[in-house]
Amino acid sequence: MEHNELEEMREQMALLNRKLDKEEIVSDEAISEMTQKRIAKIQRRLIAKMIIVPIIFFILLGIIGLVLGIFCDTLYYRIYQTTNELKSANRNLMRNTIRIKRALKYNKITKINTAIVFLCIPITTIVSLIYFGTKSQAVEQWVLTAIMAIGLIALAIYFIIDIRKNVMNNKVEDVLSQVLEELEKE
Amino acid sequence: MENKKQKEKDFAQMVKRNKNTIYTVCYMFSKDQDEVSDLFQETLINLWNGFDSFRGECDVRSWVWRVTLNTCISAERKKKKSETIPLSMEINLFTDTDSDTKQIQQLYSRINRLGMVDRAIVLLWLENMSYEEIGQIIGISTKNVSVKLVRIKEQLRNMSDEQ
Repeated sequence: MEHNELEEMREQMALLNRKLDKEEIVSDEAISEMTQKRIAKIQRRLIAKMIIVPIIFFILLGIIGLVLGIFCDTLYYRIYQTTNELKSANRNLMRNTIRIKRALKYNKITKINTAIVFLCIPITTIVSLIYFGTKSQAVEQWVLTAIMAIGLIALAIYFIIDIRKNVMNNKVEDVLSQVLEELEKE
Repeated sequence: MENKKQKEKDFAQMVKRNKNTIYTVCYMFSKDQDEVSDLFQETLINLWNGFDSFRGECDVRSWVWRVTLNTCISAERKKKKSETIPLSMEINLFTDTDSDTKQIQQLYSRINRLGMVDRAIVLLWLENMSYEEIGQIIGISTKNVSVKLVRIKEQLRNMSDEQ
């Protein structure tokens, strides 16, 4: 009984296959239209991602920069406080030397901002290349190159501004070092 | 551009070679012709999306079965009907009344009463696939396939007795 029933089902399946063999089911035009629509949809999404992803990178970079900026500002304030107290003619040499040493340490820490920017350039480049390299088969190469170029130019500008800031840091460091030398002589 | 055209051509050929499999699975998991078209389109989209990663990596037949079954099992019917590709078929397996279609409708009513996974297993079994192949496509062990098939056969027999 069971055997007959299953055999019957197999025959019905064969019948269905024979019937479907005679049918076109889906035309070449329909497949082509469907794939074209799909390609267009994928491309639209890719273009949106191409715009959004670099923005996110820059926002993240901006957030890192903001946090570092606040952190550095706090350190600058501490350096300012130290130098300000020195002006009030406190002649306790030991105390002043410790203060200047601390100020110099703070000044060194503020330089990590540049290091982060240095790291962000290759990281952003590598991440972008990996991301677009795997996802963007349907996108023209020049669009990606243009985006990468814009991203790198923006980072380069940020980097130049940061270098200028560090030149200022170096000047502060020179002055503080000189003061420290004087104090140690005394 | 040339690459895109070639891909499209390869895809169309692959669909044509496996149209029966895709249609049969969609038919067995649908309630009407519109739903067949919806599932058919959804399956084609999923096949197209995976076409790049698939090429040459495994057996085409197993891959088509896997994608089609996964699409049909996981498809949540949307209330709002989306635009679907027109199926160029002269027959409607749901409404035609000739003797062959009646036989197919009997097969449909038997299979359609089974659970989703059982439906997939019995379809693969009716395609004369080995327990190992069925296990690979469904993602269960060979032993599990044989146990499930015994239960499915039992279920089918009970259905027949009820009728």
